Amino acid sequence: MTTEEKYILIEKHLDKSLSEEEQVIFDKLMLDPEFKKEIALHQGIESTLEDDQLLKVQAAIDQANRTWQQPTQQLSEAKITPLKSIYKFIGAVAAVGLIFFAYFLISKTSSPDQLYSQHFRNHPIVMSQRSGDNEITVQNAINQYQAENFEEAAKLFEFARQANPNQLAYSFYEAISKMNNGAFQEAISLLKPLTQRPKHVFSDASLWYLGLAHLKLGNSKESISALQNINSASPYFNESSALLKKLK
Amino acid sequence: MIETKSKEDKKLLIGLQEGDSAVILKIYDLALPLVINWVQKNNGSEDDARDIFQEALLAVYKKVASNNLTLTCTLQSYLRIICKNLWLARLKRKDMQLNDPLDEKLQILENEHFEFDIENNEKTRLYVKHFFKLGDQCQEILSLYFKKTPLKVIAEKLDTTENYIKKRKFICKERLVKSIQQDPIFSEL
Repeated sequence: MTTEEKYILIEKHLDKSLSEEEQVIFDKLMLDPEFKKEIALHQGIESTLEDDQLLKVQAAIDQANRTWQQPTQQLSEAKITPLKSIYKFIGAVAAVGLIFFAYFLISKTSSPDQLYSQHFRNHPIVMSQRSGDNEITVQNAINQYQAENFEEAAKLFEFARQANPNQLAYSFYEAISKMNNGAFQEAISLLKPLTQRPKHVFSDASLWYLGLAHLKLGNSKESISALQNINSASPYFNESSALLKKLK
Repeated sequence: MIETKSKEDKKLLIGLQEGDSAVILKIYDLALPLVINWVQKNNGSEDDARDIFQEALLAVYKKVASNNLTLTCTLQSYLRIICKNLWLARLKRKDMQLNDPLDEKLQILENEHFEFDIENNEKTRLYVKHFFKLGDQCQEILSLYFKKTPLKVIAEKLDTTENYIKKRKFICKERLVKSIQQDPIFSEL
């Protein structure tokens, strides 16, 4: 049997137009697993390519693919803030703190919810790029955090934390992601141990976010207690002082 | 019905469904850089990333076309998850794995959550990719033939004889089938 004859037989089978004689030949051929595979392939091709719109979409995808160029600066590389830029960040936080301080001199009364909304913002990623087993998970977590996909970010930071419990940064950013998701009690459980550890880069920031999480839950006493412990050298000090005045 | 978290994502999905290449370019800007970055860190190249991204877009189109897409995350995340799963499936077939075992576990969980039919998506992409490698005349003849257009009508449309179309259809189909069968991905499926 030539290839052409075989194709005609398959086409007739797919059209359900085999004669009795052809059906006998076809049934014999079906005993061969390779022939069975070929029929599945022909069937797949036909059912896929009969869809005009699918072909139109693929043509448009091809065109976009030819046109699209990779940005010169890799997104993820741009998004990881090296540890040395922390000073710039501290300066920025201090400036923002001053603005908030001035704002609170004007604003006299606000509810805990309003105060929380006025003060909560996401802590920027301040983390040196580490190499290791879970480097890619951390990379993904950072990407998701910066893209503000906090559900995914929380999940990924949790994975990273479980793999490496000594990296306090993972707990810290997981907690902030959870605050964005409205899981304040879970955030508190993550932040509290961070505030009880010896001084580290996230100590004061952890107190600040712990204070905010308690504020959101209406726990004024706990909120005040956390905010009062923020070090005067911290970029969050001015802002926390302003907030404390409103809470007391 | 398309349900998304943001209006912007919905616009992008409608543009994809309509085959609007300007909108598809926006989707490339939105999600492909992250996919390239991730694939390159997991034993792949930019071309690999582009290939699976096209496959992912087709998979999303099929979901949209069947009125079966409710996005509980952003479109960017959705595409990223599909691409990761497609790449993970390819690595597994080569007896390779992701550089990060935790990431791999997570992808498996995400795949279960989204219920992707990876093999079916890969087949669709494979068939379509090789179809577009055929010449214009072959594409036209086969496209009409697959839509059950009688050979006589195809012949009239192309101003030729039915016998010629019959012969051409066989040649084009054989070329397409062989091209697909020779693709390394075909033997892996």
